[in-house]
Amino acid sequence: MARSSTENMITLMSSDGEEFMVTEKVARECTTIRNMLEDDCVITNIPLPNVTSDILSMVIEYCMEHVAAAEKAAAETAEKGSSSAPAAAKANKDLEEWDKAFMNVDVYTLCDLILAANYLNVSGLLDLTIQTAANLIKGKSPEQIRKTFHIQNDLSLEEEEKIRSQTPWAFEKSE
Amino acid sequence: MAVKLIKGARETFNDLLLCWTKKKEKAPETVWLPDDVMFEILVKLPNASLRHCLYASKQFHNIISDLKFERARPPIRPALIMHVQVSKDHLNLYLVNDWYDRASTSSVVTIERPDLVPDLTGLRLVDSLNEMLCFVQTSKYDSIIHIYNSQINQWIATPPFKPVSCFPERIVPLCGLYYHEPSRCYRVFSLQNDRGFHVHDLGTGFWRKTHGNIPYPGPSDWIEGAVLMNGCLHWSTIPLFDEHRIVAFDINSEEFYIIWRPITRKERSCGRYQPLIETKYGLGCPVWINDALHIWVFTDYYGLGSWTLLYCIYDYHVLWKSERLLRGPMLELLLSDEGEHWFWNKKKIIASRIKIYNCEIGESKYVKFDASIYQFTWYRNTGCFFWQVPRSIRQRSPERKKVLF
Repeated sequence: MARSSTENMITLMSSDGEEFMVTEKVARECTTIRNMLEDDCVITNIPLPNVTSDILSMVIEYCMEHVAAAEKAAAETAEKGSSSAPAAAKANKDLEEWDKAFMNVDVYTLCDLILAANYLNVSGLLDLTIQTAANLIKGKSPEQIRKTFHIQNDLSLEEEEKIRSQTPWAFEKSE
Repeated sequence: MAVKLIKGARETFNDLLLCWTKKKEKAPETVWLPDDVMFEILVKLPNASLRHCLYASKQFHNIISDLKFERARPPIRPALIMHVQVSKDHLNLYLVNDWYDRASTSSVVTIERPDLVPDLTGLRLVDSLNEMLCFVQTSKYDSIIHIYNSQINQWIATPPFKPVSCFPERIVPLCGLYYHEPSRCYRVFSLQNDRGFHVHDLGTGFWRKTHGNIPYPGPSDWIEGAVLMNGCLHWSTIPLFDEHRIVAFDINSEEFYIIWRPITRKERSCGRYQPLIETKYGLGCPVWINDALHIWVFTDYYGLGSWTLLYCIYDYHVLWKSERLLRGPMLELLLSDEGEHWFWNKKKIIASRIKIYNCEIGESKYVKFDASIYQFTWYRNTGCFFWQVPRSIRQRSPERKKVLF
């Protein structure tokens, strides 16, 4: 059965028709796909209509990296009998560095990645992207936030005034 | 034919150009994320950033002002300000965070002098509320209250006033900060030298005398701010003429009441009178009886007020070495300093250690500091969001029944 062989290949199809061959282990990183596989284990071709090919390739890259890191750690533990703390810490740090470099993308890609991670339910990637987005917002003025995320200001002046009047804040005037 | 072809080619080129420019125009496309994802992002932000997000767009505003959002946010525990070091151009606040963890951390926050204040020397911290700190600066003739808003890093000052001058050695006048719900504004209060209780609205910006005079004359024990609870400010009077009493000032009706302290004959008189404390069950009053510290709580506030004994503490160090106890907002913590570093032999003090006793679980722990401690105050950042009515019972203003004191 599909579950028994770990090297089972699965084809993921993006919304623009591109196909990606991945091992089942990598595909199982996505909870959505894992659920599909568990419901129906003979499935080998999964269409993903909400994800474009460039984003899907990034998601797969992330999953592969994390699966490889987990495998490496497991192999080391098996070899030495017990995991050595400094080695594990170093591996973690490397992975963090990799994540940091991976998140070096523009806002559009970031938002697409969030949506894809949300849809495919990749918890690690979702946390990473959401934290990155939160860091982008942190310490910015409303105008800068709009500019960063290319959001239009849909609040009218009156509405803005209303929000301000609802905020009991002593220093509102001096702003 | 050739011409046509060229024309055709040009048209296609134009089309291409148009298409390209369109694409270029299309490039700053609005980024859209569904509400649930946006929610996850915003939950991770600190208060100061959320304040800006409120004005970013409708979606942001709707998510943040939802009650669900507030519940999803992790609770912020108050930090304790152990010591305030004042120099001419900056203030250092020594804080302790994470009370309930065994490894609590201490940190130092530096606040720069604002342009508004020419000199910071003589500033004393008297109160804090919702991430705002209330300082008082006293000169020979008058006092000024400065309020620092740590979220937006801004200062505001009240007009100078003359504090009550019954005790010349008292350097800290009676004053503090509270939030007035009906007017949606923060207010400062002080006892001024015409024996009147004055209120300053930070929105309108002037002092106003409340109609009633304080029923009990004489200044009050005023080091660590009043206890704001059940819509009243409470402070205890100095036992100069009479037994201790507690004065309550209703912040909505601006009336005064007297509450008698729990009277016990066995009470041990200690040199320094302990201030009132906030507990999560109500107004708390520490009383020394024999060799134990009893903490009484004022219950049945809106009916026949009565005192109930909440804790008896027999901890040796709390009892014998504590010069002062600390009240905590909704916490059951008592604090005592641990000898060895005090001031009397004029040594330069490098480190000090304090003991924190948690009445709830009956355990104590130590926190070490790289500075001498002489001022304990809570940095109350538990409060709430700035745009919402503070949610704790401290600020509750229910339909008042007549209080029978």
